[in-house]
Amino acid sequence: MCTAGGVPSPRVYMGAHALQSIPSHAHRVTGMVRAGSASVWRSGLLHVSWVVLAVCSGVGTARAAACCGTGYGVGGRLAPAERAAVTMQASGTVPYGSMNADGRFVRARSVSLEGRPELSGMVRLWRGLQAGLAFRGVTQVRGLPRKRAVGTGIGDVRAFGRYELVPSGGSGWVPGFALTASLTLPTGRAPWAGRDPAGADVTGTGLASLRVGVALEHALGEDFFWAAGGTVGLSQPAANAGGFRVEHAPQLQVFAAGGPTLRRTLSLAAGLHYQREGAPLINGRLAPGADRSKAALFGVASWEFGERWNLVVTAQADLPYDRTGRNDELTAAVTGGLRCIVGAWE
Amino acid sequence: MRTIRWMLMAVLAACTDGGDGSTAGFDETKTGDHGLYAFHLTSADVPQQGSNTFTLELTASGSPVDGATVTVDALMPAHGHGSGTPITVSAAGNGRYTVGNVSFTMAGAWDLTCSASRAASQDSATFHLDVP
Repeated sequence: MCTAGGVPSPRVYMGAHALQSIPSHAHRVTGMVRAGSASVWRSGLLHVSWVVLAVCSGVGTARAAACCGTGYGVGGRLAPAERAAVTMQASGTVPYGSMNADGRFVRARSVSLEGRPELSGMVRLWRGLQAGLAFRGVTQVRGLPRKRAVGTGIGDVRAFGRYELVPSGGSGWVPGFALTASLTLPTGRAPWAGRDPAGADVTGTGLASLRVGVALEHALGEDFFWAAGGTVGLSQPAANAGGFRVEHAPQLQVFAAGGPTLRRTLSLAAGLHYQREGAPLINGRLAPGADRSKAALFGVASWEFGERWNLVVTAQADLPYDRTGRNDELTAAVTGGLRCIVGAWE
Repeated sequence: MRTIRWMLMAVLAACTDGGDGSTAGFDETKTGDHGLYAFHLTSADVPQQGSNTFTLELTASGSPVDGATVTVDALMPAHGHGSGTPITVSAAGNGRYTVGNVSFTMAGAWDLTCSASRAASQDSATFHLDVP
């Protein structure tokens, strides 16, 4: 399923661990290698940052996505010498409680599981321009006190792009800087279109949304990197969201993460994500006390194996902290994925 | 596939709270926005995810109001959506109305807006519920 695409040496773009075995002709085809071994190291570290970005673009349950919007706009990324990549991942999400409008934690009285297989691909269209698509399915199992329900279906489709104004992986103290964008199309089943009383058959947002932002990435030395970014999202108004006309406020999201690379092939990162959204207009009137905010901690482990594969495991948990989390469902999630590099950028 | 589904059901059955974490139901009275009616909303159980049933007692100056047209809407304001299943309302006599099929599709803060009209008078009240 994953082919080299005529790449002379896939090891060139796999990161620092492969540096020792780079064939001589590879030096002629990758700018990363031409920049010297230090750049290769940085690229290897920054290679991990796509994981962080992927985490930031994938958290949030489908049910919550009705208002959160799927994807934080940063999408994924390709390392400097990668032409394309395909990612297959599956995630499991468990809501463990919610924060009410007063900012008080309410423990979940039901057990729910949400599974999301996802297939995504990203390609470098031009030197600094990358674009991708993500397709996902959603399966929800809701264990309510008096009922069990299972629902499954196609989730929302997401297109995302990224334009690097300052290439990451370069030398010096200037971080890489990129503009990001993401468009979510409501191909899943909307919350107001579901027929299951527990919402088990809800698989999407029901709304198209556009999200734009910026991303910063930087390697410090040879074995540590950090990434940070922010996005603003806008959703189309819902003309009939279960009998209501709803106009969502813009949603702000920021994140920061960093971590080391160990043993050259194992990278770790931890970070914090925060989102905030003002109260929506319901039938033209501002809904009092309906603003939302939520913070989450996440960790990522990425292991490079073979010549073009990454195995990635992420864990994420929303923080039940005072008013941070109000009006939202709090979840914990684990994601496992395989990423395959397809071709090198010459 | 069917086996996996039953396995998931079994796991959930083992993990689910059971619904008896709290015995306190819902009981709240509100005066309508126009001050015409008093809306007394009760439920034997704590509102929870899934389908719920409430009893609405409608009074005007302390007297039961029968024959009113009653509608109820559920909305999760912060998330900007209701639920897909229609809420049913049936008269139970003596100013009481049974409100059924109230679906809360996710945990969090929900608004339940009850509207009543009879002849030329119309009033409504919104109840705030925390669905665990």
